[in-house]
Amino acid sequence: MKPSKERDDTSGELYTIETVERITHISKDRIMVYQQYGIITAVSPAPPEELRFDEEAIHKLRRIALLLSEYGVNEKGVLALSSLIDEVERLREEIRFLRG
Amino acid sequence: MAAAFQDYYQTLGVARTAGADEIKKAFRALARKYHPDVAKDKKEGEARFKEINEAYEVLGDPEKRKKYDELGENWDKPGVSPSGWHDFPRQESDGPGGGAREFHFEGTGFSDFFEQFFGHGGGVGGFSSATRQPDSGIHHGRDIEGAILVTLDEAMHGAVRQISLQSVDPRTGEAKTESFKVRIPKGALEGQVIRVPGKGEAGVGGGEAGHLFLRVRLASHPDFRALGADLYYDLPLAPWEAVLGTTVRVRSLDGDLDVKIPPGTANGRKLRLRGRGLPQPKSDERGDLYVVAEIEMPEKIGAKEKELWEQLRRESSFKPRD
Repeated sequence: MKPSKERDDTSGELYTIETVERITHISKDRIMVYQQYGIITAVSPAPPEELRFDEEAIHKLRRIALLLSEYGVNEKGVLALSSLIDEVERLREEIRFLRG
Repeated sequence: MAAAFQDYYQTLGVARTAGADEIKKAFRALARKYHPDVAKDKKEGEARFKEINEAYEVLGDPEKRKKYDELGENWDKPGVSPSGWHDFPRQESDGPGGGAREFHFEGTGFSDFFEQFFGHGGGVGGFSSATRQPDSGIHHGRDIEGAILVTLDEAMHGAVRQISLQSVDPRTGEAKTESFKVRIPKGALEGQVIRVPGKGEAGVGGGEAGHLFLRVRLASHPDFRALGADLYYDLPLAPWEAVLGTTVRVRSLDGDLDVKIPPGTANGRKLRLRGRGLPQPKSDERGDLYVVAEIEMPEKIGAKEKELWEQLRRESSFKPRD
């Protein structure tokens, strides 16, 4: 999918698993594994060929690629780290809400 | 290019010894004054509102404030790093051609100083194929991450922001600036990611450029707190208003609303105004606005008031500890 000519970002767009594979350089099989483990979430449940992913999923998968390729983290480590990073982000949001 | 130091205490007009409540109060007063919706000079108001938000983002968070205080006047001296801090990722990440590449944002609503020291995850990250195709000479550029400050009004209606990204080549010192438009989607929520393809680090040897990821930070608002698409409004009430009930005018994103406070409203009770929150992403629905009752006690009371409270004590059948 190409971004609109009016702007450079892609916010709000949804992607097929093939497009996600191309953008993140992670295979479809691995994408499905990360989805099954809850590391990424498809916008709505569907068979693999009909799944759609948003920018958050793209961001997480590219981060996973970095952990695997540059930081030498193995797959189990990636799952653990991804869960922890998500938890930290969720807690940050909660703190921001509570302190007003 | 060095980031300019930001004196957040001066921005909020508080002493360095100010307590959390004092900082919150100062922020709210200034945010009301300079909120783009009410400021006489919209442009000036917007700029000040962003400065105030950035200052509160740091001073309103005990952990960030501690780090900021530790940085102090020596913030730009080599080797100065507050306890518990690691070198900032962008300073230690080698680009495809080697060396540490610097990035500076404009238009995100945060200063370079904030991005450098407090912009969670700011800097370089994301995919790199440096180890993927080690012999091919092809290196994909890395992603750049940053934060973008979004006002509730922008989240409500959507907006387009002009962003500039300057990268400085560590070997030549050459600065390259690229400007582009980024759309804040209607219904942008706290923490949401906006991706700008190809605006990360350049690739080498035919490799793809990385992407720019901007994480939405909703600007603190003097009246509302956002949780997802729901908004919360803390409504101070007098004890007799909570007991007897009343109708109170409250602010909302749609203008002022009259809200009926039922008799016997307890402290912390949430009254839901359906569909008065922020837009839900990818939906025509809106979140809700919760009016949260905050029963305030009078700090000083006159002789007559004291007499009435004493009469209430004698005659009331209410036994809170029974």
